Amino acid sequence: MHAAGFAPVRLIQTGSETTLANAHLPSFSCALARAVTERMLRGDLDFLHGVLFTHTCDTLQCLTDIWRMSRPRFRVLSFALPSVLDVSPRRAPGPSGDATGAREYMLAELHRLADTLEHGLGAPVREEELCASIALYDEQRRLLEALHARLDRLTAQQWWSLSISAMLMPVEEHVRVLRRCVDARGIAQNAPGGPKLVLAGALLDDPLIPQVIDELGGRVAGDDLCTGSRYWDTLVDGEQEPFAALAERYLRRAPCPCKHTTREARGERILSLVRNTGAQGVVLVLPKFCDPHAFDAVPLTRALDAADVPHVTLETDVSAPAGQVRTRLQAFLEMLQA
Amino acid sequence: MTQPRYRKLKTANHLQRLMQWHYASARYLRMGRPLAWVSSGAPVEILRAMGVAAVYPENYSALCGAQRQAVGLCGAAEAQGYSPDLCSYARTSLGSILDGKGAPMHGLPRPDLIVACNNICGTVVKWFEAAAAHYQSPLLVLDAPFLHDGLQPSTLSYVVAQLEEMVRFVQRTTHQRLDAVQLEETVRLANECTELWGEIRALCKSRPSPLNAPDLFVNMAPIVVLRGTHSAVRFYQRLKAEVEQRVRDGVGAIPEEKHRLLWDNIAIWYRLYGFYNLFVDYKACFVADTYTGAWSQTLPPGAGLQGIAAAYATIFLNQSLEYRAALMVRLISEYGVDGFVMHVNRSCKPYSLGQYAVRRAVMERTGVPGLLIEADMCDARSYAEEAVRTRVQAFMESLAEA
Repeated sequence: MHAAGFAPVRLIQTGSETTLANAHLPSFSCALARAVTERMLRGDLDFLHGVLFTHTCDTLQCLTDIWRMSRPRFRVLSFALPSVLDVSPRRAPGPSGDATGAREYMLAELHRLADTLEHGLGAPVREEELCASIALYDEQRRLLEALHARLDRLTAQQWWSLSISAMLMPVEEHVRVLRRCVDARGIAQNAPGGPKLVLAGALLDDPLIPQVIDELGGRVAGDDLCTGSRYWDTLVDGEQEPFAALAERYLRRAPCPCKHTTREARGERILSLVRNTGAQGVVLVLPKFCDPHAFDAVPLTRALDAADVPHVTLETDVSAPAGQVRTRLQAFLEMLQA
Repeated sequence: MTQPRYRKLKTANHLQRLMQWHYASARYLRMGRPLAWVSSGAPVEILRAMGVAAVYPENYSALCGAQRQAVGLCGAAEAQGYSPDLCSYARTSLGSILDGKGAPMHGLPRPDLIVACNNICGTVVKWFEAAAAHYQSPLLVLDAPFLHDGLQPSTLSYVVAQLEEMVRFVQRTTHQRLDAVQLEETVRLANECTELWGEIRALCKSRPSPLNAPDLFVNMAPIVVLRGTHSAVRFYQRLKAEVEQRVRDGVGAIPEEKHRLLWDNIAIWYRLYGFYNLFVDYKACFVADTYTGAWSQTLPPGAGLQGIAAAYATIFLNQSLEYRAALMVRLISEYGVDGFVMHVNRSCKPYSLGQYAVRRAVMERTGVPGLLIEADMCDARSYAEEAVRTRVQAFMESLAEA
């Protein structure tokens, strides 16, 4: 999309008041679905050329069509990502081989998207621009990774702002900001010396949790979040043809609960994150009505228990009072310091 | 009301025996055949042709729901950390696996392999992952991308590639081979079954309708769990003969049919008769539904895996809301429907989240009113008896006045 000349912005949950969306979604839809639908219905998103829904969960799958049917003049594109990920060598049938055709399928979908952008929106994707966009986004990912090597210098809120802004700011500007921050002189030693935490879950689109962590003297040592390390942790292979390289990167990304993978379990990834960062505990951020994360929370907490890693689960919802999050986090941090 | 509110089918006894035989034989009479757990939208024909027996955790959960045993099993899953907001089929099934005390038929027999296809939902993948982890069973997940814009050639090739992998997977895990002739025969039997089911459903276009929603829901079990077998074909032949006789005799499913309704979503299993009787009191019969019809799609004969892939990739629940609205509009016209009822099912997000949009579209296009009822297919704790009754009464009274 960037190569076609668009500035991609991720839709996140801003605000929790929903009135219009209540007539379009039942009560058991997640807060993200409700909040973004509310904004779309209010016309707050009319400044966009359109929205691209990628297939992740059952809820977003429904949202694609709900938006198409409830406001036909708002342009809705869909991208049906594969749900089964495998990273093994090409065309090697067998238990570890990519015999499932996911690469070919992903590549065809990428070309179909480029075709839609060109013929539907008059914005062709040329190879040269695509390579430049890939390089730019890879630089952003490298800078985010470098920033994570310096997390001891950042407060939780600074970490959160720099992570979430990757989803919202034009990538060119974000890269400039990151460069300044990664430069050691760019950031002061702000972070307190309290317990180090790993945050894991879906999106962290609300600043409440980082705010509370700062107030209570905690630190973020690493994350496994959709708006965090799962966004930046895999680079595009610059040697390959750009579309093929994008398809390849997608299949190699860190496991998300929405995907089935035969690779390492998410629990192992989080445990190694805990070991590598020296974190004392894990905070699981679980949005209410988020089925993939709710299922995964069970084996995940079991894996943490088995490894004697303290953890706390924070269920977030539009109706979840901030006081509850604070109390639970406070108790958790006190337990870690005891 | 003195007279019974539904007419029992004579084939009900056959159905009961058939299902008992199915579950008993899966446990005791497999004669060395490996056992697969499969999702309702998985291409079971391939397994049958390879000599693998199959059981359906979804059907098992529905059965627990109908026997009002699901709430206890859901509680057992919740005690192990599964959120009460998750699908109640999944919680019932996981409850029976993790703490099967009191589970009907002592739960399902242990699987040798598990096959899940996400053409019905993403939940089934997470649920079967949990079952596979528990039993240490090999698991194959088939990815059938959702069709917002119809079936693309690349999507079809992707599904075909996975079915080829499925054959290799079954061969690796069971050492059984796929025989092309056997596959063709299984496809033929499956088609015979689905055609009979389609014909039985079409008989409900008659006035009065020979079947009501509970009949459709109860009798769909063999099409799900025994599709591709001789016994399912025999059952549906018998059922069809009885339903045809009802049509010839002008016998309806309910004592007096005044209103003809369309149902959308999975049944409320624990209140199957009680719920639909609320409508019978207003002389309303459900003559069609969107759910049980999902199993009336035939496979193109002679097309092998390609044909199976095309059919399973395009099932009803894997298609856009626009497709679903068009289907309902068509059913309303073909079956002479005066109103429709949508079960907003807390357990089934892919079926339920879009119902508000579909309801609006169908009402606009047909002028036929639609009612939304929020409940749950298996978890009786989510059923608000009085609220449901009031909504049904208000809807039926306005329908009677119209």
